[in-house]
Amino acid sequence: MSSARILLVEDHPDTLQLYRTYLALAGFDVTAASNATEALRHLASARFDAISTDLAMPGMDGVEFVRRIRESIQPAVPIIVITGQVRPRTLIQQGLDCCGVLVKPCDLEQVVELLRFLVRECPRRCDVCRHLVSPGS
Amino acid sequence: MTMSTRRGAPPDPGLVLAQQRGYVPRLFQRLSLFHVHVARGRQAIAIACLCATVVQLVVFFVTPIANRFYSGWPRGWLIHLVAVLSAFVGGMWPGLVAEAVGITAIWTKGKYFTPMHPGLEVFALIGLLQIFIIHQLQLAHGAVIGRERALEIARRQADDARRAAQDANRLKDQFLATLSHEMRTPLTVILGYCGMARARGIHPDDHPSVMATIERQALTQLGVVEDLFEVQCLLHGESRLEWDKVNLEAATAAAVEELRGAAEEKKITVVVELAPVTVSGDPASVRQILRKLLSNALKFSPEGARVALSVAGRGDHAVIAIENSGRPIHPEFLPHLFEPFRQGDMSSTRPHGGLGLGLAIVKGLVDLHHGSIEVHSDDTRTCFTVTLPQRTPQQES
Repeated sequence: MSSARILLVEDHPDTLQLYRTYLALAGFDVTAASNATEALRHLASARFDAISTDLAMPGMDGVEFVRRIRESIQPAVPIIVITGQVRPRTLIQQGLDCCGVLVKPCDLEQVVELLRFLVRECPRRCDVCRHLVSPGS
Repeated sequence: MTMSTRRGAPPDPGLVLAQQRGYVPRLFQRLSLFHVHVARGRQAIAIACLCATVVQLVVFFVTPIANRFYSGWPRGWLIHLVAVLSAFVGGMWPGLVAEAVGITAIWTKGKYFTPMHPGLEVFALIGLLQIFIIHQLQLAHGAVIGRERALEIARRQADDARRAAQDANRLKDQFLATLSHEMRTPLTVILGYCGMARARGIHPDDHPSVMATIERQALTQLGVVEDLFEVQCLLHGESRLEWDKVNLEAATAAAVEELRGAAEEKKITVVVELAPVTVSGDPASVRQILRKLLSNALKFSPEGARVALSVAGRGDHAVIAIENSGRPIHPEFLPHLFEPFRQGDMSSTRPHGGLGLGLAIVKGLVDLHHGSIEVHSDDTRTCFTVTLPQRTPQQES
């Protein structure tokens, strides 16, 4: 079985490097983007099994990025949000349509587990996994 | 001269408002020159009118008696002339009517009524009451207006205070959110690599770069903590300065060297023009001023831009100028530039991180050195100019 393709969007270079290394070690095929515009370019040319994005990013923020993906690009793709903002439930109530929100600094094993779960389950049982929220750290 | 200055004196605002809003009947206003002048702030003329009115009243009451002795030309008529003129100047229109009656009585030699007709006393009384009534009216309405104004002012002050409190509260919330974000970012990296080392292991080849990243992030976080402490000290007026001679040339060169990595990362050329200038100050703080201004210039410059830094002596002052290209500072933000906890862009899509403390710290430190800081920002460039005295009161004392 080929490894799952993950699109990783994060504007902080050191954090991006860390996530990329960690997810690659966990066996994912990782494509990294340092902003939403670059990520949309990747999305135009390839399909991904899951997307992980930051929220606060220069140019286009994560909320708008997620909205665009859901609108037309890959409406059913599992998306998780890893953010330094501390009110994930509020974000979801405000219509952030993602499968899970994790608050930085989060346990990266948890991210790996969540991504594996979503890649495995999401296309079949989307309603089960939607709106998982980490309690924060 | 006195008159002209009196004319310029502001009239009673309550009275003016009363007039503007028509609370005091305008007819009454116009009837009395005294009140017209009071309303226009011409106190001296108003007092003259009042005197004239008093003269008129006295003359009027005296007239019937005077008529008994001087009923003929010219003395009786002279008294009447004075009375008529003063009534006119004083704006005592009922008095004028009384005078008219009196004159007619004399002219007709008492054919219809005598100058001592009881009706004339009534007119005189009305004349006396005129000032009193108008004044009372104005006082009453002035008081109403005054109360309204006081209420209005109090309401406006309460609104301003509430708005200021709301602003401060919003600023606090924004700052705490930013602080939380700025603290979480380095922690994410540091804890992330710890977790990676424990759960997955880090390849020995990656050790140097991972250590460098962890150290960089820890130092970033240390910078945040130091900035918080610094701004706290400055806000509470605690000076931690240790005065010494500071060689600006060397301090600037050191700051440029320190930030060389950051400049190279964005391919920014730092053009330095140094003169051998010495100032009196705290060496660590002067270095901090230079470092913060330069790192600010690098942060807000686009890639491949040019940052110019110059140090020069001008009279007994040292002038440090740091200029960068890039987007101008928003004119609306300029007045708040040196306030702590404020940032030009606090949106979720802001291109630059930071707490919004750097320039507040710079300003605070420059002030402690008895210097000044100015900023100029237009479409092409932004320039910060710091002026530091070469000798300070501390040094002289």
